[in-house]
Parts: sequence; structure tokens; C-alpha cells
Amino acid sequence: MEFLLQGVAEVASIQVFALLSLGLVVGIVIGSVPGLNVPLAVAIALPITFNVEPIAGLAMLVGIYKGGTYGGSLTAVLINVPGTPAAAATAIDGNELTRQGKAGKALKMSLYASVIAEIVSDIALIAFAIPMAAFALRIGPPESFSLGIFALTLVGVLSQGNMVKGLIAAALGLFLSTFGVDPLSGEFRLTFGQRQLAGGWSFIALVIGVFAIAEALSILDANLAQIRQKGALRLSDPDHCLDRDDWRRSLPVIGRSSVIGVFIGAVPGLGSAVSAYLNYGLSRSLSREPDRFGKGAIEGVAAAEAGNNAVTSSTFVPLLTLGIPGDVITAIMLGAFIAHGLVPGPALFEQQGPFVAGFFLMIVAASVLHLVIGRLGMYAFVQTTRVSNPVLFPAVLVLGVTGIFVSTSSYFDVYVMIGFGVMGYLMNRLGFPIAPLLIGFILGPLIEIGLRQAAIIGRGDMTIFLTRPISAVFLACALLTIVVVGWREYTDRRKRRIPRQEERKT
Amino acid sequence: MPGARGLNRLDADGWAALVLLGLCAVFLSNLLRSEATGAYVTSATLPIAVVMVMAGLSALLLAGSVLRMRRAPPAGARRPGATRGLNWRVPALVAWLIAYVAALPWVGYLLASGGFLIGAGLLYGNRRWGVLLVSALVLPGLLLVFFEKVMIVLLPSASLWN
Repeated sequence: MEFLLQGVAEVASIQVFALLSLGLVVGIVIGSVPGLNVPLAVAIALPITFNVEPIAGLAMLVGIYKGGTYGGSLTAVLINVPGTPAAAATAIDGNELTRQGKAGKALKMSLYASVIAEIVSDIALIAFAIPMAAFALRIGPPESFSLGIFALTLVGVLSQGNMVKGLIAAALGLFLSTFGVDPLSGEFRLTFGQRQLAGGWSFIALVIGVFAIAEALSILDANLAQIRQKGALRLSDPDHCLDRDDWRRSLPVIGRSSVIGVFIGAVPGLGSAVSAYLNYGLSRSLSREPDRFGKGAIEGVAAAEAGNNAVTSSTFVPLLTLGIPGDVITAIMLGAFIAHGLVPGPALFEQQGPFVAGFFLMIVAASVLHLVIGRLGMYAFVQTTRVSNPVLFPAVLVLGVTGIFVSTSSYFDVYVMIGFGVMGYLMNRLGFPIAPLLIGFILGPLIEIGLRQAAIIGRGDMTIFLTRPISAVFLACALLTIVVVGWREYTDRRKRRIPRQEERKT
Repeated sequence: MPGARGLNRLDADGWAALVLLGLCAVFLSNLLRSEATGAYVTSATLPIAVVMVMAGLSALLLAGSVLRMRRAPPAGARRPGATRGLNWRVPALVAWLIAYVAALPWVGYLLASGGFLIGAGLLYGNRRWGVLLVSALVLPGLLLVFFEKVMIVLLPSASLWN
């Protein structure tokens, strides 16, 4: 506590709070626009932070990071177009609630779950930064591979009753992630002589394609041209308010997803998308009513959003304690630290104690301000439900094209996005679930690099995955998931078969 | 020909499986011809394994489709999503989207986006010209100002008239 009090003088300034608020607003807007990503916004804001106090500059970057991570859920819930890849998990149940006329409920749960998870993550960063860094260092290639396999088994959970199609979608995602230069040998794979494919398929083009473009095509196909919400939507209406039952279902899920998300955030290279999907899948497989998921389960929104946002503070664990950036955003922030003459690592805690304490307090303040700004912004965002589809979806398509062009400066990636859009539309039409495709694509590099590096470490001995305890635990969890999901699938089929047999008899 | 007649009776899942099997064959031949390197596990190991798995699963999907075809369900029992015809507006919108992206470097962001918004709005059934024109003017303008002035990121300019 004494340590934290040293930081009060550092953060108690109007400049810090003004830049933090500005960062949150910019982050929420950027995060909600499909194609615009948080690293891009943080990179653009970086030079602005050079002219202010170090803590104020970092406050703006933290605000963009936290706001952007949450902002993706707004469009995911309202129009089934996730602003960020991680928000794709939120769209599964969030948009279903919007279709049921409960958009306010989904938006509120998305905000509250995000803020609670952020606060858990803030506390973990402040109280357990050093032990968490020690844990993160024990996650090597075998553990990464096993974690990837565990997360991949959740595909079965997300296949929504059609295991074969779900597995095909996951395999397709995994396969698409292997295009381009091999990350270990630098060899070209599956590029078919195309220079543009050297870097592989653009992830953001895939996400916008299979969600935004596919949704726009599906809406057009179904001739859904009506105005979606007549009159002003009131967030205080009973359908848009969270009741006791919603909280009873969601609070345990938020707690579990926050803790898991904190650990995922502390491990370099995993990130919010892995956390969001892993937590969504876990919550569904552990639920007593798994059939509710995918049909507007409020706890589904809570799991995905808590998982997504729980990583936002814990990603600073390896940065602050070891000087190792865990992802692109913290790598850019490392630049901001260095530009101000601060070198993250163990020495930072000894030499710049008041600054570190101020940074911790600022991160907590960011979570509280996030709640206030998110709640106010909800009134503006919810109005998109009043815009008719013929006005909304052409605008979404322009935003998608613009976002991809701004992110990649490549027309090739824009065409790739259209191609993935057509693929997503066909997948929707043929009943192939989209979520496993994205999970496969996200986990592909983690699994491949983990497998190959572990094989080198073990000199070809693959028992390394079983002899390392954390890796063995992840593999055991994967096996357990397969058994649980398989058993559920079997009992569901039996339940469906018995009434059919009775029908035939009669 | 009996084979062609059988193919005609395949449902959408069967056709999807056939397309996937074809793609697997193309990718597998490419991967097997590549010079894979790496210790213990090569750069081609995972892609080949995944393609094999995908081919196996597609074969399962095809088998399910053939079994359903043999049982010959009544037309009404077929899933509506898989059998209903394609709405002509869908390929038209895809073509319009491709035309928009192709036009971007030639006519610039403002004009191409404005034109796209009007055309796409019409395809969606919007016949209110006032709304179409306002959206075509306001949205690209706002995005241009936001990206070029606030974010300092350049959007495509018109090379046709420099």
C-alpha cells in the first residue's frame, strides 16, 4: 500500500486524466470500426506522447489499448461485425441477443464483464507481477503446443451440433495459417509464386471477410431490408436491463474467465483472441445448459468479453518485470518507455519506484474511467440499431475496405477480404460454423512453432510434451474436453433418436 | 451417364465435400513437390497433416451425403438453406465490390466510395435518392478527413486525373 501511495503525486494531474479519457474514447471508436486495429492507433498516438509527461503519455496509450480491446464488442453485438478479432467470440451470443431485441442487455454485460475483468487483471498486475512473470517464463514451446491443442479441442464445443463441419472449418483455418514464409526455416510455402502471399493471409482480412462481408451478403440474400428497431431504443427498458438471473449465470463465468485471461495475458505471444475463444469454449463446455450458448446466452457474452479484456493489464507483466513485450501493443509501448528514458525490467522497480506506482494507479483509474465512458458511449452506439440495413451495410462494406487498406496498404489484401467474404457467406449457407475457422487460424502458428521447437529441444523425442508438467496438464485438459464433448454429443444424439423411433412405432 | 446423374442428386454438403477434396488434392501435390526443411518436424509436416485430415473429413461429409441420397428423402425434408436458389443480388454485390476496389486507384477514394454506396444501396433496395446521395457524400468525406487529417494515413488518390 505504501508503495502505491508513492504514485499518487505522479497521477494526480488533469493532464493524465484528460489524456486517459481521450485515449479511451479514441480506443473505443477505433476498436469498433472493422479493419482499424488497436496497434495501429497506439502506433499513431506514440509521437503525441513524447511531448507530455511520461505517465500522461502512457495513460493515453493505455486508454487506447483498453478502449480498443473493448470497442470491438460494440459492433459485434449490434451488427454481427466484430471490430477486433477477439470480439468475434462475443458476436456469437451478443448478436443473437440483439436479434431477440435485447441489444442493451448484451452491451451492458459486455461492458461490465470487460471492466470487472480489467480490474481483476489490474490487481493481479499490482500484487502478483513477479510470481506471474516467473510462471510465464515456464511456458516454453512444449507448453505452447499443448495449450494450442487444448484450445483446439474446444472447436468441438463450438461446432453447434455438427462436429464434422466444425472440424473441417477448424482444419481449414489451421491450414490457411500455414501459408507464406515458414517462421522457422524462412522457406516459402504454398505461395504459388505470388509475392503478396509471402506474409501469409492477412488475419484482419480474414476476420472482416468472414464476418462483415459475409453478413452483408447474407442480409442481402435474405432480403432483410427493414428498419431493425422502430423508435428510440431505451436502455432502461426491461428487455435491455440485466436482471438477477443474468448476474447469477454470468458472475461465476466472469470470475473464471478473468483469472484464466490474466494468465494468458502474462504469457508472451498468446493475446486476447486466444483468451476470448478459450474462455467462451470452456464456459460452454462447463455449463449445465450448454444448449443456451449460440442462442443468446448472456453468460456467453460475459465469458468472451471477460476473457478478452482480462489480458489488458497482465500483458504488462513481462514488459515491466522482464522488459519483454508480450505482443505488438506492448512492443510499441516499450518504445514509449524508452523514449522517456525509462527502461522496463527489474531495475525499473528499484530506480523508478514512484513512477511504477503511478503507472499501476493510472491503470486502475483507466478501468474505472472505462466504465464511465463506456456507459455514456453506449447511448450513442445503440442508435445503430435504428439504421436500416440498406443504409447500414453499404457503409459497413466501405468501412471494411477502408480499414483493410489503412491497415495493410495493400489492394491484394482488400481482394483477399472479398474472397474470404464469399467463403464465409457460402459457409453460412452450407451450415459450416465460422468460429472454428478463426480458432484454427489463430492457433495455427502457436501449435506449429511449439511443435517444431519442442521437437528440436527434445532432439526428436516427442515424450517432452508429457514429461513437462504444465504441458501434461494442458494435454490432460484437452483429453478431458474431448471425452466430455464426445459424451454430450453421444447423449444428445440418443435423445434425438429415441423420439424418432417412437414416432416410427406409432 | 449414371455417374453424372448421381452427382446431380448430391445435396449441397456433397458438392462442398467434392470441392474440398479437389482443393486438398491441389494443395497436397504442391506440398509434396516442395523442398521441405527442418529438424525432426519439417516445414511441410503440419500443412500435409492438416490437408490429410481435411480430406478425410471431407470424405466423411461426402459419405453422409451419398447415404442421404440413397435414402432419397422427400423434397420437403431437405434443409431450406442448402437447396434454395442464389439471390442474383449477391453475385451482383460481390461484382460491384470488386469494381469499387478496382476503381479506387483510378478515380480516388471519394468518388469510388460515393459511387459504391449509391450502387450498393440500390442493390439493398434503397430507393430514397436523398438518403443515398447524403450517405454517398457524407460517409466518404468523414472517413477521408478522419484518416488523412486526424490519423495521418493516406487514402487512395485518383491517378486518372493526377
